Amino acid sequence: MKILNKKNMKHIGIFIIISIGILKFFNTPYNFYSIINWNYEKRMEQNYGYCQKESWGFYNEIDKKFNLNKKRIRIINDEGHITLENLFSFNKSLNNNFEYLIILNYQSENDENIYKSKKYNFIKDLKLIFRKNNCYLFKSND
Amino acid sequence: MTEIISILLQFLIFLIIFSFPFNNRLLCSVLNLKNGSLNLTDVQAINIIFFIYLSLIVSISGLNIELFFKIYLFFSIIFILINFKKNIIIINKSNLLKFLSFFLISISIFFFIAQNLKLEWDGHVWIQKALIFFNNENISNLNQTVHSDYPHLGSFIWAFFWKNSLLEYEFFGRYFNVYLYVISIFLIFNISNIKDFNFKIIFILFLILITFEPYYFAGYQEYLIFSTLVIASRYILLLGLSNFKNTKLIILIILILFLNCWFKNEGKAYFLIFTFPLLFMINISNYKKLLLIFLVSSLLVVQYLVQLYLIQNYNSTGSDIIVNFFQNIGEIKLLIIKIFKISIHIVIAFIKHSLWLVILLSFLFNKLISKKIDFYSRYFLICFGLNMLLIFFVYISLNNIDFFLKVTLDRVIFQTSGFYITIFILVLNKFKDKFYK
Repeated sequence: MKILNKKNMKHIGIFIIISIGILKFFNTPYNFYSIINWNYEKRMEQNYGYCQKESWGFYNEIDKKFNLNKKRIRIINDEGHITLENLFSFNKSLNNNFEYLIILNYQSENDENIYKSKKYNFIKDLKLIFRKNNCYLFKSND
Repeated sequence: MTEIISILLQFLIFLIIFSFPFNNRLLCSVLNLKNGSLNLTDVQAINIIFFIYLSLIVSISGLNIELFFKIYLFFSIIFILINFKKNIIIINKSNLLKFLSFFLISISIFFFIAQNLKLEWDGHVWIQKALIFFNNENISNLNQTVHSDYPHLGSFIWAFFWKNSLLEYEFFGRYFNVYLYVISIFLIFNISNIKDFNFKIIFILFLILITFEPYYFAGYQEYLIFSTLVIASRYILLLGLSNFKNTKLIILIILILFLNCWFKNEGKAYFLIFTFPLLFMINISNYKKLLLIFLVSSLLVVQYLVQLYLIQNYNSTGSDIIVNFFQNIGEIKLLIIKIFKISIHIVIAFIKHSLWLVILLSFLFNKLISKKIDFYSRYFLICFGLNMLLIFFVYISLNNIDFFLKVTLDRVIFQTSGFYITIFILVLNKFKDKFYK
């Protein structure tokens, strides 16, 4: 076996050590395990949160339940994170001319109800159609 | 498991489509180079540049991106089959191990992105443009995106590989940036004198270690500029072999640098500050120099016209910066404060992106090792000087300087660092020649 001579074995040995270094540096074994173990949606939720941070999970659930594709939606993330309308083909409305309102990560004071909030007093005229924890989907009555 | 298979398939697709339309021999003959002076990494790099130019034309023409993919893949496969016997590579130990390292690094970053698939802040700006191409909308719709004046080419390529991936997940589109980055790092070692394969791989790993920034793979365009600058600098070094007289190679370098204008607005400035010193310093006739300057100017005019009439979008950011600069230098005290703040943030960015420390040390070592300053040291030093001047010029012109310094300067510093890696390799070569003859 010419391939397995002493010199080649040395090269292969060094290459294996380098490969282990590469795999460790990029955390490849864990990433591989994660991709196999959790599907795309689950990993998106892990990265963006369900009803925390950007709240991708909440967007995904309401999109599936209410088919909000191309609907005029005003989105407010009360924690100040970026909104994800681009990942869902929502038509983001920047003013009060909207069909739906999404409020994510509502920050209450002293356990205050969102309907009593001064910040969002305009929601009294809207219909709550879905809520999970501090994330809300309202529909305009117009 | 489907996702793992699609990721592996994506790597294979990159490998196939970037093997077309040039092979080793054809490329050497087109560039008037000696047979064998370029290797497979060069072929892949130049084919990527060719693909990017074709993507630019397709993006403007409005051709369906799925059709474009099918045609390109078809021709690539036919090309590989036709050339299979002619270009059969002698699979030696070094080639095989090099490919395995390349595969391992690329796939590891692919897996990394598949696990950390969050888009960062600017990624949400660039994805708006990508969505226009993903949905095969008209290019003039770019006007409706936030920062509509930003160039669209990076987003087009993102959309192209996103749409034409097996699972149509967004992050597959970003794999192009990874592939280009890894190719460019492997490419730079073609100019190294180091013969020992293990040492080469260790140096490649070292470069990856100090240039890998996961944040910039999260939808940013920084790696596109970084990698094209690495590729351009590799061919600038190749110019020396032809005594700086190979006009075709000079045109290739200009075309590679010109791509930066289509990735980000500041790319235009990089195109100018890296091209003009080269044109003035190389040893060719004044007539040829004039022709090349005409080529550079024409390219900029073409870009302006395409942006203005075909995409119907051109923002005069450049002239705004010049006006603001002259307005802002009036107050000496404010100017000194600004210069101080910019300097501090540049130092912070140099430390953050440690490749810069390697580059600065290389400049220093180069001065210590060599008795006289050679062409490359002078050229890269001039480019570096212009690069720093550009940064001061732009940031002095900004009013909200504290915010911009915090959120943008490190990226600006990072993206051009690729251009100077060659200085590091040159110093390594000189060091080896001097002490390990």
